[in-house]
Amino acid sequence: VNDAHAAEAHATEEEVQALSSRLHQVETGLNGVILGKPELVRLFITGILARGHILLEGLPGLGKTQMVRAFSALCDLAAARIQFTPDLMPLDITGSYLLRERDGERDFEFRPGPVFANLVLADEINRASPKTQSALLEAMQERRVTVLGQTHALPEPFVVMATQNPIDLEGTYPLPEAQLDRFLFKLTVLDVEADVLTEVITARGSGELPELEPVLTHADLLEAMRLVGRVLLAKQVAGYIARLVRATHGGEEGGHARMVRYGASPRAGLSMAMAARARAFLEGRATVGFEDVKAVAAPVLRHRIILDYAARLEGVTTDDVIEGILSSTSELGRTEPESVVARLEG
Amino acid sequence: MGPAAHSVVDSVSRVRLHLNAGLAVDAVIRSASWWGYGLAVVVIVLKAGGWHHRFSPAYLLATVAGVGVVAFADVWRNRYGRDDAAAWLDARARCGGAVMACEAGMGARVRLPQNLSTHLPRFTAGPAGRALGLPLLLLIGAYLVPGAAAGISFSPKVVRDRATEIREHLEEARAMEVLDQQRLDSLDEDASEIARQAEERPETAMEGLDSIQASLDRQVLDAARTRLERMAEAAKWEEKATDGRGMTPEEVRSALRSAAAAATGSQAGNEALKKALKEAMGQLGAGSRQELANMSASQLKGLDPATAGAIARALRNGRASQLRRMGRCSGKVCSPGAQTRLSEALSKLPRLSQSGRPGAMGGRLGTATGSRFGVGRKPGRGGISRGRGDAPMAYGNETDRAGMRFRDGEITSRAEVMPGSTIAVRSVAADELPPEEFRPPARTGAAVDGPVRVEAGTGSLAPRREEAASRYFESVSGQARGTAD
Repeated sequence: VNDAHAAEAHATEEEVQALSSRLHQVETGLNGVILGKPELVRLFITGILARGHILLEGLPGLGKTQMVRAFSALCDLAAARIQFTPDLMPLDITGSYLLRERDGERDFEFRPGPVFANLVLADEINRASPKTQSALLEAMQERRVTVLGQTHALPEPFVVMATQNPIDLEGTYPLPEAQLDRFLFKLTVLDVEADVLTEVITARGSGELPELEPVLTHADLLEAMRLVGRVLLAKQVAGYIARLVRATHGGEEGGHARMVRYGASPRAGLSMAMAARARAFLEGRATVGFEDVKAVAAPVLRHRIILDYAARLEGVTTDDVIEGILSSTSELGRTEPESVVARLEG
Repeated sequence: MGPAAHSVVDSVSRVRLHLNAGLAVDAVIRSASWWGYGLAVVVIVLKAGGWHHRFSPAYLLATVAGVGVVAFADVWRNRYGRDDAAAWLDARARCGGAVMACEAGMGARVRLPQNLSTHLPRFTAGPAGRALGLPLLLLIGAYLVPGAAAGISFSPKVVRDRATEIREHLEEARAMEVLDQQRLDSLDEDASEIARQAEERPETAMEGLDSIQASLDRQVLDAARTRLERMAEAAKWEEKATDGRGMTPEEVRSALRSAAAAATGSQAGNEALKKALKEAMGQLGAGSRQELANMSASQLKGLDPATAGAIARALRNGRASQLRRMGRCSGKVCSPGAQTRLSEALSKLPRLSQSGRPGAMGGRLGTATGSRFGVGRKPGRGGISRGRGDAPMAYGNETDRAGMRFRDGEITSRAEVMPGSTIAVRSVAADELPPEEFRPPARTGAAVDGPVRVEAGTGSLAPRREEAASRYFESVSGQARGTAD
């Protein structure tokens, strides 16, 4: 009976593919807006499907805001943008009560802030004060806000895309590690190639976002998010995720993982599992494979690993550490027999 | 579970079988490698400690059994389950979790790749060659390395005691009357000189004493064999000449008288013949001596000088043929007393060989069995040569104590150096066999009890020892030929 219930709890391949094909249309639309970054687009959609918040890091003008707007347009979602500045107050984000007079009576009316949207773009989040940052991060974690003792639930889905500028850090408030941990992904937006830039200049004369028609309804997106949670994650894959997370706490002698001061938290394991499910879903599969975990490992772990000074001196980045961990961690948790050629026949 | 899932089950089973087989091969290789290293170390340690033993198939069987037990335990502890095999197949075939879902009983909810059952791992012999090469070479090398001898240390007192013991042996040999007295005197003098110089180089002195003992053993045995041959030959001639009844004194006197009547002699020839006959007296029995005395006094007066001289030369030059002739005449070769003493000495030889005291040289070396005459002696490497007159004894090819790493193989005075550093040994009792019936044992070392007792054994010699042993036995055979002639 338990096996039967477990089987029913998992999504079927037909259910998955019915929605994943439509998500592919969203992906195609996004690739039409954000040129030359298909992998970034896929990870962006993967993070949203996994109900995770995404930290985008990149130089200004690389299309971060355009991507959020395009996705909201394609999925018929409410989007909001908050430009974080040092004088930004928490109530500017969460909303506040306004005194209103109606029919001769005065009362307070809650005016929702920009956080009450499906997609919230928190631009340059590290420029706001920690107090303001905390207000947003609490909303990200609790998916609700409390103002003057009144709790207000945030809409579903609620996804925050925060951006950080890696330069001009003077006068900023870098996010503490505990708050970084609340982001599912940290995506690095790299510069575009010359040919892609040529295409952008040719196609986008004024930089206006092209007209986009919704290809996925709000309800469909919620259903897709629900199905992602039902994608089968085998215990061997879960074990692989656990080994990857554990490997960030110190690796073998000579590996880059020895330069890790603080490794990833258990929340990183949960996030990786959910992200792997979302990626498998996006691939049209109802089961998570090892390659799904490998695909999402870097964006999940990138902002959760704190390196020591030796890494800085040697120029080792977290991506180098993650790459080393992925190459040294076996999917099965054991080495294969040496007398067996791992290459497959047939 | 659908038909597709059924093929996955088969595939997982086959993959699991291959993986476990590979695991077993790995475990055997790993176990054999460690066993190889371990055995090599053990062999080296044992050989360094003086262990000397030939390779036995039992060792091979024990090693195989040990490797198998360790490998089985390793495989059993780390064996691949179906979940592991499914995960392996899923990862290698990039099935995206479908194989693991099928293995979890949810095959109907996923889509499987095509031709999944053909994806099987292959075996390779590369790891075996890499892992087993070095320990195998080390093990072979460990078996080939000659065993080291235990540390040897002799005090001058031990050397002097040994010299005293050897001089006692020389006296016993002198009492047997089977060796040249001058040779015995020379050996006795050498032993005394070595004992006097024992303070300076005790190890070399002990080897020199061993050489003396071995020389004594060899000469006694050769002399005894020669006497036995003569006795047998004389008995054969006597039986042939007299049809088993023997010649009477009258027949001897008649034969000699016939020879004397055939010639006319001179005084010089008679004197020469008398001298030769007098020398031959010691070899004859009482009856024959009386007959010869009678002949020299009366019957041989008429011999011509040429005939008398020929008989005299024959008596002087050919002792064996002379004794045969005399035996044909008298039926006896040795005096009854000498024959009895010789028989007693020969009967003592096996007993003396077994009564060697381990506390002597052999006991200190650890392997040699002490014996006075016969098997089990160790001639040693060092040599001594006498100088002129009272000049100090010169030592050559001495043993360096720091270099005494190789254990000597046991060699005996009756040993034959055979190819491959193997020596076959036959005891004195085996001399009673015809040469064609003597069969050297095949590298096993055995004592065979039969109608005629044959003791045999083999041993390995270090290359340097082999050369020394070869030189030694070449000289032995040369001297033995000289004695027989």
